[in-house]
Amino acid sequence: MNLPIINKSMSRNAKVFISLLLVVVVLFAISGIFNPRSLSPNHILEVVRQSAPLGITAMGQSAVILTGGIDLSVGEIITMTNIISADMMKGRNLRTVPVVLLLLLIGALIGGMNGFMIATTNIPPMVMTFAMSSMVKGGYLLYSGGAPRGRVSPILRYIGTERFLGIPVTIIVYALLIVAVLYYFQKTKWGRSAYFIGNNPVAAEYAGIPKTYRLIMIYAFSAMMAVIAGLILSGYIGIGNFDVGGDSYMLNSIASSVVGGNTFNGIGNVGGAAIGALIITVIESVMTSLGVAETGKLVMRGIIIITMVTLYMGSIDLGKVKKLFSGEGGSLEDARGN
Amino acid sequence: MLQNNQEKNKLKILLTKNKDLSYLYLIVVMIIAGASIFIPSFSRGQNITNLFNQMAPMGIVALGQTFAIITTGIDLSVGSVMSLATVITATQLDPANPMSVFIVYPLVIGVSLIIGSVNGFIISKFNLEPLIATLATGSIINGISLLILSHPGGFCPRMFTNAWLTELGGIVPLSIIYFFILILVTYFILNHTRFGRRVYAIGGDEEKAKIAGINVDKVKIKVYMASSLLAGIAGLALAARMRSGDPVSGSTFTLYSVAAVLIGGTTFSGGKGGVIRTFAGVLILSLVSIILNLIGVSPFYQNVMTGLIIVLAVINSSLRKG
Repeated sequence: MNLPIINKSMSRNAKVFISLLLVVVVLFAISGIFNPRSLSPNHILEVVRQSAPLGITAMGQSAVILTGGIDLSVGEIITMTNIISADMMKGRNLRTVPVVLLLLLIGALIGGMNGFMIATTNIPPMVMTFAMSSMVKGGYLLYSGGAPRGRVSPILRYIGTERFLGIPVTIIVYALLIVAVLYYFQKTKWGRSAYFIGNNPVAAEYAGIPKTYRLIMIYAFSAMMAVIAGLILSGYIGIGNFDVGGDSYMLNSIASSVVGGNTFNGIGNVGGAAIGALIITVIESVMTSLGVAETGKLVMRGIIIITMVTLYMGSIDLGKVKKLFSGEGGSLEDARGN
Repeated sequence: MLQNNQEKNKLKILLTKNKDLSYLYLIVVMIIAGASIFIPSFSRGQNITNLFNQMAPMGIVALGQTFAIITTGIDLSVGSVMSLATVITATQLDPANPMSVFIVYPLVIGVSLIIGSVNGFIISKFNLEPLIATLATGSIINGISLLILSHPGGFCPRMFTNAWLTELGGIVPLSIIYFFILILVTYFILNHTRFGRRVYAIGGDEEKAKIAGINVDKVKIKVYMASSLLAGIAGLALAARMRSGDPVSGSTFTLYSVAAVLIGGTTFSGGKGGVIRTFAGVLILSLVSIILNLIGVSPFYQNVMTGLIIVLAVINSSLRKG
């Protein structure tokens, strides 16, 4: 890319952030062409609000991805949060705080278990968190007996749906959370270690980073972020329901994280995931307003992931690709796979 | 007599060389023995047929996953390929026209090969992380399946399902026979062909393989084509079992195939393992699921149990490696 505002002296993350914001602007412009009303501040705020649960999950997911792992349990944790919060709150304000604290504790335990097993045994993160998601699913099915009931408290409803001075309360909570997470991962010793562990596990160990504790903390963080996302989503939906879309959050959180510039070797920024989530949400909303069904969204998600990650890798030798398509040299043979 | 001794020695060497594999099969035998003693209905013919019918799709897709994992990669698009195969089968088969079968098979196989080559191309030429690349292509394939058939439906006529479900001797369905044939074929490919050796070489050390003159990109593209092709065949088996198409039916198979490979002792560090190991993993996973059903464990607990068993089995396999 040869854009004037991106120059070589900038850090990788700065470049990524600027390109991501450009993508967001372009996407909004495209949606504006199709539907001018979608550029109204109200609609833009609505899209940002919609991206909040995904962005929160994706920030947790990013921390895990940066350490070279992956968390497939976030989707079921979101569904679990919805089921348990609706059932326990039964629409009473007084119960909000205890239930939220309990759910955060459950999340920390689930994530901590993930991290502990991954750090102390050879089990690959993908398998551990997948198995955990199966157990969490069994857990909430047993808890609800197959029939979710109850509704969330008015306070949670307020956070999920209402506006304060014209700004959706969800966005205020989301913004505070982003600031806290960014501070934690950019400025504190504990947060920085997520990057170190992913970038060079051996060096991290020699540097005296207690890998087991940090991994437990990072997976617990991811699970707790999923719980928070689940709470906000429950506030929006209002009732307990198995069909809150846990599955789509699992895949979309990974997508948002890698679109946000995070890699499996500790390069990236946890905050990028929030912009990644915004991009994914904007695309989905544009697709919906165009009347494109689920197909278009899924196909776009795939294409966006591949394009963005390819660009980040910076590993495409453009000469090689040109050669490939013009039919020079031996590379074409490779392309045919014979 | 002498030959017999030699054979015995060979077997002995084989067993001691793969000690952990022998243990794994010992566990399988123990599970089967325990189940047939304590659960009277376990050894009933109908039940064994069910077990085989369940095992075939998961087993076939796990064979393909083995290829990808040996090269230190992973193919997360296999579930979507399976769904796409069921959808194509259920919509393109025409009960009135028996010849439609001869259109469906080449179509499914061709589509899976194209998907596999795209996967392999992206992974090798763009240097993308296999996990991310196949996750993305999986999403695209899911979208295409939903475009063809937006809801579970369609119909697979008998002329198609008979080729998979006909029970030999009233017990053994043809699908499991195809599975066994595919095990032999993939075993031969991995262990007795140049391509197979290259797969292991790349898994062991990609840089060294490159220096040794192996065209790594080409082999990788073939590996993902193989994995996708086997997923397509597994999709055909699944379509025959369901007698219809379902655009999301394959999604659960993705991670179960990975789990089966890992339980068998093939690890993400690459260069080791094989389909015989994967077969043990497939056996354990399907036996556990059918036994949990037979002893009447609530489906809710089954989720928890399956998760626990996968964790224990994979930890067990990876500990012995280390």
